[in-house]
Amino acid sequence: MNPIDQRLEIMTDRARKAVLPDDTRSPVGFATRVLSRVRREPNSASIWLKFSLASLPVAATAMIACLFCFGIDLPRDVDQLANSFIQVPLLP
Amino acid sequence: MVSWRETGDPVSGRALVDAMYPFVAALVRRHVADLGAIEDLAQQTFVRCFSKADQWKPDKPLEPWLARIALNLCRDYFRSQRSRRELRWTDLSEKEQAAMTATAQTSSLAPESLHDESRTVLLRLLNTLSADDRMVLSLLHLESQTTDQIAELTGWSRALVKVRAFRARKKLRLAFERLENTRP
Repeated sequence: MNPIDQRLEIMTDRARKAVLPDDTRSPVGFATRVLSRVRREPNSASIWLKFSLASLPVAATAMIACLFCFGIDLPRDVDQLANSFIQVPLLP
Repeated sequence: MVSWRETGDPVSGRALVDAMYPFVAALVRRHVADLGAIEDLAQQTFVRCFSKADQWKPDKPLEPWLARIALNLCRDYFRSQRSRRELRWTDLSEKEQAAMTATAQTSSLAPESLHDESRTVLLRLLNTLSADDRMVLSLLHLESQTTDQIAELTGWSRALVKVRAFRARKKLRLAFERLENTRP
């Protein structure tokens, strides 16, 4: 084994033996802080729900505006499109 | 957890935090040396656990799910720490320098008082690596987890864990060598 690897191995062995403080009890008020943070932070599902509900009138308005601007030509286009389809022979 | 999920009852939430705090804090402490960050990460772990409670499957144990959340948060924390500069001999305290010197001796000669310093130096060396490299090495070497366990915890494939560990070890070796070269 390379000497650097050997030294790293020794250091890792010793690091593993280090005694870490025992966290048997949570700090005072820890659970209260966690629960108040949970209540403060809205969850992502409700954010998406709010966003989708808020975007509904916007989408409806945009659709009506589009229909109003281009709606006059639309039936004619659809007819032309249908006619062109009908004229295409489907079978040889 | 089941009771929290169904009713959002704060009493069951508090009981869950009290019961699982030792597990979460010990896990975070093994990866993060900064005392302030440990409590904050433990807190974030529980907040995420409660807000994503609907994703936990009651037929599976809670600990691995919580561990995964905590490790992801630790990884995000390492990513946010942009102090990945090279570690120099003069950055080490006297005891940390002694711990470095003691690695050249056989393990039986090393005083036990240097174990904590060895851990600090190792964590400081790991801090010079990327978040993913740091995570895989500390899981593998400090926590003695198997490749399968790491794959389960991180969501990586076994092959990726092995490749990442190999490359990360190489980088750690380089960081150790560089640190030795800055010794006066």
